[in-house]
Amino acid sequence: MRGALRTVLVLSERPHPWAFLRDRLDPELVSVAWACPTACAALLTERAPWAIAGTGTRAAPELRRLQGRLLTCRWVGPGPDWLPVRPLLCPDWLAISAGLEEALARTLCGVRLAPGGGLCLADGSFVSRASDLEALLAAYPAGIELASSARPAARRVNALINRLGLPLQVRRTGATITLAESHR
Amino acid sequence: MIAPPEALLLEDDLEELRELCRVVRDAGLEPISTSGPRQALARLENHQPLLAVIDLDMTRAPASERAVSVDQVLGRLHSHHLNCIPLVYSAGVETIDEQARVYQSHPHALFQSKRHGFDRLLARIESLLGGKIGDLAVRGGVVVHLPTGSTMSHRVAVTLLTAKRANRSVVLRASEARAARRFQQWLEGLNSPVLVRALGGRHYQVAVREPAVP
Repeated sequence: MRGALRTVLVLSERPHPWAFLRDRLDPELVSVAWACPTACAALLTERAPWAIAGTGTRAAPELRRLQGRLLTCRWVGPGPDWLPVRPLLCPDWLAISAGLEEALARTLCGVRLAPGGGLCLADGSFVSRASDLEALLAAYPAGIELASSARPAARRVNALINRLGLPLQVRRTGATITLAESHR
Repeated sequence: MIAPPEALLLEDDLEELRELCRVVRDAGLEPISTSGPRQALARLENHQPLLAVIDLDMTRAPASERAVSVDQVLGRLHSHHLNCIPLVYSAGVETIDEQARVYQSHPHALFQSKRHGFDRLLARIESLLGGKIGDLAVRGGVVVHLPTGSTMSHRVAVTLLTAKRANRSVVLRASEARAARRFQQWLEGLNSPVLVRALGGRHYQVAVREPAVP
C-alpha cells in the first residue's frame, strides 16, 4: 500500500462502500483504499493495511501475502474462509463504519493511535513502525484470530512492548492474540 | 533567492487556465500551466510540483495533445511525484463511479466539482496552501512561524506542511531528509509545538506535539 499512513482496505466489487467509509472516517487518522477482490495486488505492495473491510464471497488470492500479519477484518455478509484473519461479521456498512470509528478512538493505558500512523504514548511521545500494536489496539478487547499460527506475531508484539516499556501485555490462546493491560 | 514551489495546472479552457494561474500565484506558487495532457506529461519530466490541478475533460485540447490521456498524467503523478497533491477539478467527479475511475489512476486524488464554481476551487486551494498547523502557516510560498514572523523557505518545509493539510505523508530522499531535520531544528529553536515525524520507510509527516496524558 503506497504511503506510510494507516489504511483501511475496502474489498468490494463496486466502490460505493469505499466512498461511504472515506466520507465518515477521520482522514487525520486513517486513509481508505479500495480494490476489487481480484485486483488488490497493487495496493498490498508497500505496507499492509491496518484493517480490511469487505463484502462478497469472491476470492482475493493476493491476500495470501498478509498471512501472519496482524490486522482487523470486518465483513458484511457471510465471511469467506480465505481471509488472513477471522472477520468480525457486521450486518451492514454502517456497523462497519461505527466499529472502525470506535477502534480509531480507542485508548489503552494512555496508548492510542497517532494521526497518520504510529502510536501516541501516555507521556505524549510518538512511536513509529508499530503496526502490530496499532492493529491489536483496534481489536481490543476481543483480539485477532489469525488463519495461520499466531506464535510469531505474538513474539513480535511482545518484543515491541518490552522495547518500549509499555504497560501492556499480549496473550495468545490458540490462534488468537489479545492485548491487555499489564499490572506489573 | 529560492524559487517558489510549483503547481501544475492542466486545463483545456484557456480562460480558466489564466484564472488558475492567477490563483496559484496569489498563493505564492509558481504555475506550470498546460492546456493538454501531452504537454502536462512533458512538463512533469523536469518539474516537481507541490500541487496539480487537473481537469478531466480535455475535449477542447487539440487532438495531438489527446494522444496522451489525463489518466496517464494522474498515473505519472502517482508513480513519480509522490509528494504532489492532485486536485481533480472537473465536471466528471460527482458520482462515486467517476471518482473510483480516477482513483484507479491515483488513489490519493482530491476532488472538486466544477459545478460548485471557481470560487469554491479557490477556497479549496487556499485551504490546502494557506491553513494553519499549530503555530505555522504557508504564506506566499514559504513557511511562516506566526508568533515571531520567522520564515523557512525550503521546499521540503512547504511540502511537509501542505501534505499535512491534505492528510498525507511525504517521501523524502536523503538530501531532503537532511532538510527536514534542519526544519525540525528550526522549529525547536522557535519552541514550536509542531514537529517532523519520521514514519518509517522514508515517509515523513508534520504533527502538532501532544500534551502528556495526566
